[in-house]
Amino acid sequence: MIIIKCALYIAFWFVINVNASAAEKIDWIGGGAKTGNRLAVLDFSSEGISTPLRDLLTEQFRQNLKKLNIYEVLDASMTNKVEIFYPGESLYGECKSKGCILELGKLLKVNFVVAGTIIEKEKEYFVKGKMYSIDLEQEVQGFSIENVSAIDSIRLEMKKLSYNVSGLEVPDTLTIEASSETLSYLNTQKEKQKAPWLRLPKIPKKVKSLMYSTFVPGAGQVYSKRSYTGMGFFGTEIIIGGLALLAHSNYQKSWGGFEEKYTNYQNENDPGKLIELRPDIIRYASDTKKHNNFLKGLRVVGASIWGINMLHAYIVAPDEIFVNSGNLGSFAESESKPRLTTWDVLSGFGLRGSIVRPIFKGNSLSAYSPYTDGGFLIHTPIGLYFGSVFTSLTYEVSNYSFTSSSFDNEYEGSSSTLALNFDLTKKISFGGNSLKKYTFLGRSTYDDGKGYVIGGDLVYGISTFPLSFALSSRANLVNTSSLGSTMWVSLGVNVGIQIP
Amino acid sequence: MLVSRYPKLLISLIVAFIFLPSCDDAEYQLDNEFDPENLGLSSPTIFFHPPEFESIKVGESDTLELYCYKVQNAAGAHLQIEFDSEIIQIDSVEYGDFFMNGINTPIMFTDQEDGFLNVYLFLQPTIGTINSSGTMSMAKIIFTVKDEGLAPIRYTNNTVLRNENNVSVFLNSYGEGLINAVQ
Repeated sequence: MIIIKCALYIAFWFVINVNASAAEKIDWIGGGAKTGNRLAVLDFSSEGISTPLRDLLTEQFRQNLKKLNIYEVLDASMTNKVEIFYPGESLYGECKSKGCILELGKLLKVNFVVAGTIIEKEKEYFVKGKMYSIDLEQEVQGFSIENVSAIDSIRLEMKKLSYNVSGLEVPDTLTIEASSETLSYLNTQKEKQKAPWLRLPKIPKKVKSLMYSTFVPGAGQVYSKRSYTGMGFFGTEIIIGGLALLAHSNYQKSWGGFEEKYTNYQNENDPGKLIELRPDIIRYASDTKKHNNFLKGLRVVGASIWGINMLHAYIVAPDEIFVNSGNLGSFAESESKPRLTTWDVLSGFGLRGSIVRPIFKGNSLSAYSPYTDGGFLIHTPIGLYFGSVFTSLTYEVSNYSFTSSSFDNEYEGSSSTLALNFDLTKKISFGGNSLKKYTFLGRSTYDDGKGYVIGGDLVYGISTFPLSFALSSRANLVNTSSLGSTMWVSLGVNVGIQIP
Repeated sequence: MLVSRYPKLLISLIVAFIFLPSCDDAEYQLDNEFDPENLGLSSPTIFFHPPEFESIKVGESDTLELYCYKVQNAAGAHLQIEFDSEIIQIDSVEYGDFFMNGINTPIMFTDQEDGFLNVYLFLQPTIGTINSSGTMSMAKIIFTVKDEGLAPIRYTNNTVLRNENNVSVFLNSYGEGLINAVQ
């Protein structure tokens, strides 16, 4: 068995190393690398200077290199045609890391890539850059220009830099006004030495993202630069976890009561006491079942969201390379007539499942303890604009249940509410447009009465997925036949899908 | 950030969520043999507790309770009990809790003749309480077994409970008892 394992291990190592060697495209002749001369200059990033100036300097640098005829320099239009979304960049869509630059170089089918930064600081200019060999998959040259005090000087310095990058001597006709240096990187051997002796198979970014979100909900989204969404998933799972703990605590309380009463019942021989114990046992058992069902529901909801989070993490994670080379489309597409589909008709509708718990109650319910219950809300696009406030029609069904501390009395049922939902997102700047702010006003029908519901929702919608998470509050003002006029205020969380 | 500040709390919440134990539903059987609901009686009524003495040796004493079951608004009672006077002997009768009214004990007197025991019980009313309701012991009979044999024990038709207005309280069929006396 051990021999088989060792053989497999050696075979695995061999395959990895053979593949690794095959990936390199260098012809080593006479101890030196011989590669092509196609070069791309990426747009320099900038700090303190305007984008047009940055583009001008980059383009002049590109043209200077072209004129020197050492490299076959790609035009700006060709270079910028490829967009790359590489994970790990500090800004999504940026391409500054070595990995990203090398991948981009491969996509552009060039042998070298020059990338750098132009910085203006207190009226002095600094240029830093690096040249990468795509074939060697490493940095081969670094350059920097420091303390240039005038814009003309920086143009001159960059011209000089093009000579250095091309490996040519700078002509005397070019005046030197600033300290500049070109660093030759002779660390090919060093990097070779640093290379690990065993390369493990590369895990695709999508799989990595999926793995992260599998272990910690939202982590994959954070990895894929969808931090808010990730935190949304994480927060939702935390809220569900907290509710589960709360429900479990209530369950344990009921279970303790049940066990005590049932043990007493089994050991008691006084008919009077046995008669008294009966309803307690039944109520505790019912209560226990209720909490347990709620826990099971939470587990299903939590697991579903966890699953959605994993799927979402996989979807939003960038492919190994995400290339957007532009699609001009075709005349056939542009001339096709739009058709109204079922999707169009349903667009704007949404469904949200909610978990609510009364946190405050009126005098009539002061002797009662609340339970955590569920409900759902159907959001429609039917509505009107009042200024910038869109008011839409909403239908909500919510359960409620209260029990007296001795479990003698219960007040429970469900309410259905037809409400107007006022979208105040444009009026309240807090949280931006991704956090929708709604107020809610509706007429409700309860099991034993009628009343009004007022409240508010904070809804966070995931931009890349038709999913939303919300915190909601509701104040129920009810005229009941059993308790008279009463009220309670609930807080809830809900998860919903919306048809885009 | 919350994640770095409270890692333990968050991790515990996640772990609690994932590994939250599957809870059991409460399962129970209300099958206590002394539970009036299991005696085949329909309330309101009166019965003996325990309904059956499986084996009592001759010469031994025990207690039999006269119980009411979900009786409403009773202020007094005449309980006439028929028993086999050749097998058992009634030693004494004590009042139970049903006609107790706070600190006031019920008025009780008894007589027995030719296998019939009469127990008269009256609640002493107060300003707040004029009758009694529920499932409780009305009286306790202490008896001694004289001879072996099966001694049935039952309430006669003269048994009656009355409310504070001297109106009979409706009762369904009474429970019966059985004493098995052995040597």
